[in-house]
Amino acid sequence: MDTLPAPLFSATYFQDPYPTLGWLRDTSPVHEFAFPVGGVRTWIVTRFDDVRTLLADQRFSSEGGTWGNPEFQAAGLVSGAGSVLEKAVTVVDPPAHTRLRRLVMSAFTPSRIAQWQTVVEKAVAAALDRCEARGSFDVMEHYAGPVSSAVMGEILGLRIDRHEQLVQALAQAFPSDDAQMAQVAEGFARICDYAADLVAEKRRRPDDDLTTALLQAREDGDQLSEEELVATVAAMILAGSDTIRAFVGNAALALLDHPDQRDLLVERPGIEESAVEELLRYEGALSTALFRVTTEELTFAGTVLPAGAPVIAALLSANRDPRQFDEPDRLDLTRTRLRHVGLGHGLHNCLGAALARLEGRIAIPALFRRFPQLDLAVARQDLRYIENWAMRRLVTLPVRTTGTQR
Amino acid sequence: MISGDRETEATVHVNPRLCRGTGLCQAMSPALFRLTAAGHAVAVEARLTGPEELETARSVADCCPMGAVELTVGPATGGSGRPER
Repeated sequence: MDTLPAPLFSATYFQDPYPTLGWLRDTSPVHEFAFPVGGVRTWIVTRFDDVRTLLADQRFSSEGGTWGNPEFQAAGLVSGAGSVLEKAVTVVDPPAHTRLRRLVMSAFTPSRIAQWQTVVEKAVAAALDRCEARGSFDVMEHYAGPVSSAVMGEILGLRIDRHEQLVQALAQAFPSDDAQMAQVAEGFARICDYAADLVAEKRRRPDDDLTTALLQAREDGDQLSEEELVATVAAMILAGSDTIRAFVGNAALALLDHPDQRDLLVERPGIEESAVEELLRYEGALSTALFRVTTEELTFAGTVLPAGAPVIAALLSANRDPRQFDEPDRLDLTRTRLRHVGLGHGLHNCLGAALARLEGRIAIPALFRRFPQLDLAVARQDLRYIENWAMRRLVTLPVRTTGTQR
Repeated sequence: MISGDRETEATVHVNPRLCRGTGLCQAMSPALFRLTAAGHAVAVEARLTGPEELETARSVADCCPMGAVELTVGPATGGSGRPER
């Protein structure tokens, strides 16, 4: 195991995980290692086919609190443990999952999401105006961040005066700096509080927004309980803000790294849709899916996994698997019929996929159309990624502009 | 939306223009849906029979993030069946 290019979830790995992921795919595709928190025995799956199979196999549960072994639970690795989020659609199995997902999706249909196009366009235009006024700016702080939180606030019906508080709470919940880790729990708690306030407010004054639609969602006479509503709204804020920020940043950097593809995106009408798929494949927001735990002892791709074992599906690795994609490390916006796992796979695939695609399709080309001369304002090798095993996000992406086009 | 009637015959179809191969349908019901080698979902059998199969297909249609699973309730022949979504 000493031959791993960099240990999993080490500082070196976070800055460049690809050599390690490539080694794992070739040498140890179902790889056992000690998870950094608590040294818990954990397995990571890195090949495309294996990742898809794993995420579609119901013997791998999302309920760490139900099926995870005592070691896993004692290390505090159960998502949302002890909070309302433990009941969120992201971390429950069928049949509870089916019921929750039906109710949530009834308020979050692709056709409803399409109606938010104007909301996204306005948020993008406003952020671009502010970036233009600055001249040089940080794509993460001044573009991707404001766009993602403005869209989420608008869609959920958050009053505009609370948007800035939401940005601060999100910064607390998803820090870019290890020194701020102590504040994470407070950030999550604040977001749960916002969600509870929002649900209470929309109950008093229904409006044309997603929170109200969730309040009113009915399926066969069934509806979300108060606790489920708050968990759903909180989960949407948590799952739908920082991910978009990360994705827009990764996509912008990928295009700065591939000037020919950037020209193609700006110049070829109608390429946006396939471009977003390729950008999601090339470097989406999530390095891995949330923990799965085995509900029984089983053999997976030739490896015996004990019952209750934590297993990680490496989405970033699957999307760079040469067994699935020709020249996977090359960004090629013209790839057709692309099937990737950038938004997950199986039961818990991204519920907000249509919104993620809408935001990507508008926000990413708009940045390069407004600033045809966008350049990195720091040396390429000085860019840093946050030290988080599940999320792939740049700390900052400083750029400067030498010309604009309205 | 689900209509009030309780017909037990229906046709299920995955719209290939909308499907992104997310695998949700196959994970929810491998008996009714599978992914092709190219990664698209298809119905194992277009015809559904029995209330349980129909209810499962409805759940899957409601949960699909792309709205790609289409159900048509009614007998196989004739154009009277209406798509539910």
